[in-house]
Amino acid sequence: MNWFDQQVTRLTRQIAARTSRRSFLARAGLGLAGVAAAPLLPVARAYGASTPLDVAQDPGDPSQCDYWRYCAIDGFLCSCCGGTASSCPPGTEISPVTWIGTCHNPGDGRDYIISYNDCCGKSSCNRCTCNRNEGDRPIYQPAKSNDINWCLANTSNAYHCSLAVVIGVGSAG
Amino acid sequence: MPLAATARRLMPLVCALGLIVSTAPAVADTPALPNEQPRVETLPELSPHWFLVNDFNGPGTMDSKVYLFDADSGRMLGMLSTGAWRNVVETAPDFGTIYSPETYYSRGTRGERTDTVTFYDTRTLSVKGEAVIPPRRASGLPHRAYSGRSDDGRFVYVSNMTPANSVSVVNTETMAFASEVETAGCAMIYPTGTRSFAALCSDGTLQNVRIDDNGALAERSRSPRFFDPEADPITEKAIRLDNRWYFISFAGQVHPVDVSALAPVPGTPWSLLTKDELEQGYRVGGLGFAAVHEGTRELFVIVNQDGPDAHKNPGKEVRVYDIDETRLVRTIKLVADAGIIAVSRDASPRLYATNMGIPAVFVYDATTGAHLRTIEGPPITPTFVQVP
Repeated sequence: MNWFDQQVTRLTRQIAARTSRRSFLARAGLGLAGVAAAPLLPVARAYGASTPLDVAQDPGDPSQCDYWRYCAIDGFLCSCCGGTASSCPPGTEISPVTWIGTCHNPGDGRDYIISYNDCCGKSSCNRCTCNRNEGDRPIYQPAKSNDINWCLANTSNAYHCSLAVVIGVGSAG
Repeated sequence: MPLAATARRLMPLVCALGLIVSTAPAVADTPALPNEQPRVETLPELSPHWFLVNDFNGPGTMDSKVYLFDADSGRMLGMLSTGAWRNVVETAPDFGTIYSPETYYSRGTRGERTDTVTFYDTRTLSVKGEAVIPPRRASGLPHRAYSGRSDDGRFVYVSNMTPANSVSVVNTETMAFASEVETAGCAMIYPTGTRSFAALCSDGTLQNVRIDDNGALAERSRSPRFFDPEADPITEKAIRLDNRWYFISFAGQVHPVDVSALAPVPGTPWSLLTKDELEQGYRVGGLGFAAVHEGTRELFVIVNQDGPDAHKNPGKEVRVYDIDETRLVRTIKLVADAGIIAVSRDASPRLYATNMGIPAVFVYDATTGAHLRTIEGPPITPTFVQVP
């Protein structure tokens, strides 16, 4: 387990031990709103870029299950559904709550923290099913479980597809 | 459409009909078929080899189904239409009623959300009532332990996740929601008696919750820490025999926990796999990889050879263990990979094996391992098989 995972686990347990469910939700909601906004920044930069992303540093085909970011994903790839690895298809809603994994990028040799947000509000996209379970953990560890429908906090919990958003560099990277 | 164009389009059909009439056999001297009265079937007497298949309906998770089959004939007997996000159903002790946790939106995938436990008459497979529960039912990849039933059938428990964990308690006698019990930091549902259920906790313990006769929280207790959720987490898949739950870890360690009393008592772990087998990549795996036969006290487990992170992978064999003697009894070679198994409860047990990616259910003799029959799907994405 890397440093980031250890910190998240420790923090989660401290919160669980010290707070009631309602107060946890109130605080978590504020925190998660910030988390949800964070991945949007690199997405916006990517769309604004005048030159293509450096494929050498981000190698692979985001419409294929063996793309490095998908090391712990379970679902339909948004890249095949009208979105990209970091953007939801038109008309869907991004899940503000999600879980994270750590994937190794062969392009630059770093480990990246990947946020597996779901895109919600429409029925299953059904294209490019992908299930990889590196580091996946059971549901009693929700922050590490890819089994959970992360549309659970959205207006509709209809699940459409899944993203794999880079939100940070792991300590080993 | 102009009349002339319509006539042109219909011409081939008219010609075809004329051909059918002209080639029909002459009326024979045998009596004509009797007139029929259309009707709706009801089910015959329950067979121990009936089984339910929950269909997650991966291509359309907002429209799940539960199929009923007869393993002896291979026939589909009927189906329930069970709303969004299928996990499993609970059944009355006499199998006379099916309790199905369900989710609906007023506009299909949007609008007002309503979660229910719907009560179906098993003989007619028709709705006889429902309890509206808090709209927080857990969803995602299906899990058996997302719901449970009290041993006497009085209460049904439904797991909630927002992502905070809680349990909705439903009174089956009044067909009404009874209460919501918080289980902070602990997930899933493992019934432990007539008025209690347990939940697995992220700190490696088991929480046991006792409710009163009205379904409200009475008291709760925690076991000592009995597994390491980081080094070798136990999966959510577990089986129960008498007053003991058997939780199985990623590496095939069986962790028995006695739940006779409010405070759960962990027992001595034992291993399904040898050290050599672990090094060779053998692992337990699948969506529902464990089953038990109460009569023979045998534990059935799907095994694959896919190495680390293979806890959800299907396998080509089912290993059968004597759960009291903690030893391997036999191995059943499967004709197709399976991630989900169930075993009928009778003295001539059937082993049902399926896989969410293969729309078919394979029926085996659970004693000899002989493959008896393949029931082709739909179900499109079969998940949990349940037996009466």
